[in-house]
Amino acid sequence: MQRYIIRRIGEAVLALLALSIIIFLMVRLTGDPALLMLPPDAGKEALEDLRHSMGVDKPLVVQYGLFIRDYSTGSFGDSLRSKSPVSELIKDRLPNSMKLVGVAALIVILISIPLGVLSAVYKGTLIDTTCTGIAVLGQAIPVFWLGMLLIQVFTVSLGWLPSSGMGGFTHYIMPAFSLGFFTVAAITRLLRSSLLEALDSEYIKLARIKGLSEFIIVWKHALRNSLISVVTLGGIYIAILITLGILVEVVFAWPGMGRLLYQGIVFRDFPVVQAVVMISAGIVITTSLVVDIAYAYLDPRIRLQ
Amino acid sequence: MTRYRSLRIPFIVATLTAFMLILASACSSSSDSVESTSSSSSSTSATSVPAATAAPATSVPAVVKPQGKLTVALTDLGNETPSVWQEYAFGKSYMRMLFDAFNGTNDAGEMDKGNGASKEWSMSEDAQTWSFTLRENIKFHNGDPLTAEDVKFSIGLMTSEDSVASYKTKVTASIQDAENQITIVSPYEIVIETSKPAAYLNWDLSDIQGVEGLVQPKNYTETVGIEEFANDPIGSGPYKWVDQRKGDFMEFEAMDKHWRVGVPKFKTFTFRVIPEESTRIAALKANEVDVISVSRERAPQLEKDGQKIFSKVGASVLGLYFHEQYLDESVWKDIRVREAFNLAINRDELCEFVFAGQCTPASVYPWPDIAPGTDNSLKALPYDPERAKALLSDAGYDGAEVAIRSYPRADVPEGPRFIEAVAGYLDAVGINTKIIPTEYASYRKERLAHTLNNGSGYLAAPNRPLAGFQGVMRVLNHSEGAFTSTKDPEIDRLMEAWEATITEADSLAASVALYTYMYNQFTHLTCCNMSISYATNDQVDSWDLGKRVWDDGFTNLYQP
Repeated sequence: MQRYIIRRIGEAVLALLALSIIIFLMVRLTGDPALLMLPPDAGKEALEDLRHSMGVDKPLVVQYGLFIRDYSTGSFGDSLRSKSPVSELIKDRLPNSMKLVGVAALIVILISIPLGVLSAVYKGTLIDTTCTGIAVLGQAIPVFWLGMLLIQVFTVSLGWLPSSGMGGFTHYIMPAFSLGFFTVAAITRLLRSSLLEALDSEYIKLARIKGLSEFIIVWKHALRNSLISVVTLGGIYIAILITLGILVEVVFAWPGMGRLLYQGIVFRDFPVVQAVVMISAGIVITTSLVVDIAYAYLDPRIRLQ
Repeated sequence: MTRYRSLRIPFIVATLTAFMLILASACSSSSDSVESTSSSSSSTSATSVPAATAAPATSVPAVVKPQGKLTVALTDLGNETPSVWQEYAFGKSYMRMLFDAFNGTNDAGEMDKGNGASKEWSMSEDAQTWSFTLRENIKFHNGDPLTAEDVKFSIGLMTSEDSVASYKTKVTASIQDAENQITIVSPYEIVIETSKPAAYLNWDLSDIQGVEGLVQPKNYTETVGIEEFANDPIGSGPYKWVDQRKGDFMEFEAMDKHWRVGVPKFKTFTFRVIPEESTRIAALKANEVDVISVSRERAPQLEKDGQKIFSKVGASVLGLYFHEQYLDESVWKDIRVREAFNLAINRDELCEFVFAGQCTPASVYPWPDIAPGTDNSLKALPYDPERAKALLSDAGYDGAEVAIRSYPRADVPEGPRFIEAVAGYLDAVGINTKIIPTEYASYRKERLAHTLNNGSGYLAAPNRPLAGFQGVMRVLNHSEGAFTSTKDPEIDRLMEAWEATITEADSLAASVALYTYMYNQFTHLTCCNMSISYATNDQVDSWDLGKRVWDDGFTNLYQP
């Protein structure tokens, strides 16, 4: 077990290192940030001054070395645009994204579990078709379009919910729903297939023979066993929501990591883009690592492999 | 099926519960709006976005105190860092509410001694010594007086190496060492010695272009720390800082009375950042905000829907470059070809169909027709495809391919459609065009490298003061300019003559001379004077957007 954990941690670190090289090079492929940060009529001297102050006039190897040095000391460098430490920008924005993801996760759970159960229990009926249809819609509808549609209906037409920005609970509903709807689809379908498999198993047949009610059979026995794979994948999906939030945060003007990444990309603010991507990747890799370790702990067959 | 009949009840319960939750949220949303409206006079916490108060327009009697709220939603607010050395020109809208300028200007884009900390200034004959006398009645929001120390300190900060002020190089061209070049004669008198003639130093240290001329308090900044100042800034402007959530909103509260503005109209002024236009429009229609920036495309529809539209006509001028036209092999080496390009496009059609009627034909890029130093007798070239064909034939145009870069920009989102339309007009007169989709930063890199032989791209040059045009023309059209497309000795001569002028009258005349020469030389494919538009609800009765650069007259929204 120990060897397995050490190996997985090593793999996670290697993955992060490889990602650091990829993201470092890719942001620099987009070009010179100074060209975007100054007005169009700013002269060569202004451009060179700005490049020098940003440190982008140094050789790539030097820049990467500074990048690794900063990250290993817990610093993400300074934003090229605002000159503020990137860690401060992230400190402002990350909690906002986590709150949105938290509510989105709640919505995912509240919607996908009933839909998945109904779809499995009423397999082959109109209810199953409806639930599956909702799941397909969730995967097909573009997130930004869904957000705009919700704003049009619930803000402009009905006046029920605020259009954008952060605030009370009502500010969370539309962006969280937009963000979570894609994951609802995935979890619903996964739960449906897991539950169908569980409902067909021997212990369920025994439970029926023993005369237990269908409600207890489905919700207490079958569902519990079906949730193992759902929780595994669901945890990773929810970690990914942090990165998927970019479109939702732009549409709903949510001041989170996604918006920060968007601004970083638009203005070629390399340190910001690097930091947001590394943190998001770190969250996903860490979640995956924790899940794998937990899985190995729960299922000896995996660690023996 | 009968086994699962009992599960229908949980299904119905779950559905009803979800419905009740939504209803409850809708009800609490309504009560949220009521609460934020009724608490408009109290300070707003950082956890909620300040809501707009939608009040019907009536004729307003003279206000004794600032009242109510105004909320403006924009795409971007610069760095959202209220400090003279940490903010770009794009953040000027809110910076001018918080700070006063060293040298004042008015909405017509002219220097104005009534609007800045300096009540008087003078320049030596050699334009290397400037003397300024400050008003003695300006106080920062903490009660400290604004003195020459604060001006010197602010200029020092703004010209520092770490400063991101967009036009700081215009100042550092003549002030490299603020500590030694700026002398405090008395608490309200200051003398600046420049390293070279600087006839426009008062412009460069004003609020006409960027934030370079804004004054930050020395004592307070040194007390809280240069880095910390932006977290709780104070200035001497008509509004003081209340709160901010980066990427979401900035909130300001009016001073009861301000030496320049008088009694500001609105008690609370909030800027919100809403990048997506559809969301901004929804927020306006729901009265969550009172003013939004809106694209040219959407402005006519919003006007039909009952929103008020205020536009800044001629905010910029759109044109295409004839890059590297000085090269012998350039298709634009021959003036007849350059004229043909200009005659080939239908500017009226472009304005109507590409820019939704929100522009007018323009005469000479990079001057909008309303800019200072132009000759309004020189009209935009007509659409004359037959003459264009004849000119091309006379010039012996051999069908050389012209590659036009196509990219959207925030100020011209219609860019790709515009380029397609232009390419269509050019193709129709026999010009061989190719559209290269790219992005602006890549195109700019190519421009700097001068690798665009027979290549073209567009830009919208904003209107600016006379001093600003002098600076930009050097960069864009002088032979030694970083972005030059021309290497014309006559342009160089006219530009250098302009740069040597001391008085404004001479400067205007020199600008007109250059303008006229470039008109007659067809140095660019000039298209249209572009408008910037804003949509408002009934909170705004009237609004003059002015002629400042990077600032659309938000002062006039709260001017009593």
